[in-house]
Amino acid sequence: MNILQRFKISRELARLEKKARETPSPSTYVDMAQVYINLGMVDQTLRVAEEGLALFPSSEELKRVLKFAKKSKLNHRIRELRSRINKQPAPVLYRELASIYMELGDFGSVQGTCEECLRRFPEDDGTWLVLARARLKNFYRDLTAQDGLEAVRCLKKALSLNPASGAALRLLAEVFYRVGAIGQAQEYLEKLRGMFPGEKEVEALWREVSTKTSREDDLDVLFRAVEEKGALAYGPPGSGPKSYTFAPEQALAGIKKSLAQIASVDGVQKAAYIKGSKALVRGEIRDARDPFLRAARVIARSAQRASRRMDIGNFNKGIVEGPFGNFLICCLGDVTASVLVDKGSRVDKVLSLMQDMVASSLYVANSEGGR
Amino acid sequence: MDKVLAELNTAVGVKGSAVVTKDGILVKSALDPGLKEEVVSALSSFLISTTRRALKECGIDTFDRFILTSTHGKVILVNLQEAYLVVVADQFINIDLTLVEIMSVARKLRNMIKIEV
Repeated sequence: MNILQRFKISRELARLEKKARETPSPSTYVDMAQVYINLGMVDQTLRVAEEGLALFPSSEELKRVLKFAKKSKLNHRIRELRSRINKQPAPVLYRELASIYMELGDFGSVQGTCEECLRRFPEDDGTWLVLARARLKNFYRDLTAQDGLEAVRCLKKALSLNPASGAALRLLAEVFYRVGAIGQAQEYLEKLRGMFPGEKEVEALWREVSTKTSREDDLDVLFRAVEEKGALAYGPPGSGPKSYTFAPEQALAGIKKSLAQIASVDGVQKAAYIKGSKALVRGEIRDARDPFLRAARVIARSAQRASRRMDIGNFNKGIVEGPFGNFLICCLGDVTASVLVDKGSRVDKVLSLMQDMVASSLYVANSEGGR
Repeated sequence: MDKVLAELNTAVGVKGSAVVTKDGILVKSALDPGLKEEVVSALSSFLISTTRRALKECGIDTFDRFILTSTHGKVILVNLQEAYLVVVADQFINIDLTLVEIMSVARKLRNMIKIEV
């Protein structure tokens, strides 16, 4: 970069910094951050994004810039770790590297890094634990049996190398409980209680598990059942017990309640729960012929078709954004939830409520009401 | 355009990207060997046209972006006015992080298309 270019950039930055102070707006901060991104000044980008978010905490664009800056910073750390590993490999370095990849959502690299470490240090239980955590993260998110079973295998391996690993015991007990393998969950919880007597979290989980009984002990069957039903036997971690075996009328009441909860989020214009030709609706929807319902069905169907033909599995979530706001679709099996929200609304919150509604409604009988 | 798409493909988890016109004609692509150009362009065009048509019935003229999440991957469609940018990514990407890069590439492509037109 020559002197003239440097001068131009610093003048532009000074102008933007001044503008941000005098008339602050999310776009001013985003523009300024963009200049810093282009200059490769990660720390400054981070500073600008944080300052902007302090003033405009709901700005989606600023949140993205902040994440991007954090990612750039992590990339810098990745390069550093790689170079240290090349010079003097150590399990601790591999584990940190894998954890960064996990934070970035790059599962392929987590696996690659752990495998590379295990080739050099096959007895390192910590690396098996990192690999298990990555698999568990995927399992709790996608509910795929393969990830769950693989996580169990990695945790058992970590435990065989270090039987005193509290983290491995805790994760195993939890995942067994969530899929409904109560006997096995109790077995690991007992070990944990012996190792950490009186530990609050362990005791709470123990009490929760004690009230349940096993319907099946074969892990393969239990994990496949979770995948097929699209729901855990006993709720996601941290949210307390939630059974997927609702009676139909309870489930229907649950859907109505969830739909009302979605409709109460600021900015939600229309919300619908669709199963086959029937729909439960909330918001500004006139009747069963409302174009919103048709649009939800058409988009979900074409997204499903495109997903399958592109070989990327089943469509489960779609966000269509535009000047109108966001058209959100969530699908599982033959159930579709669809919501139209204004621009700037809390899309993540609405999507999470939609996913919960769809997942917990899989047992609704076809005879349900609706219009 | 090739360079811009290739640059986007270096982002974590991005398996390929392409620019397709509204009628499904492939302008440029940089896809993984596992992804077939004609399949990606035909299916993106199908998705774009059905989505636009469905939205039109609701009184919505067009959309800026469509983020599709499936069990084994993600597809992101970005409206470039004259065409669409199609990005195929794996299911593990952190979409918020990758979107910043995708939108930056979309801006560049929009300018390029304007100049070429």
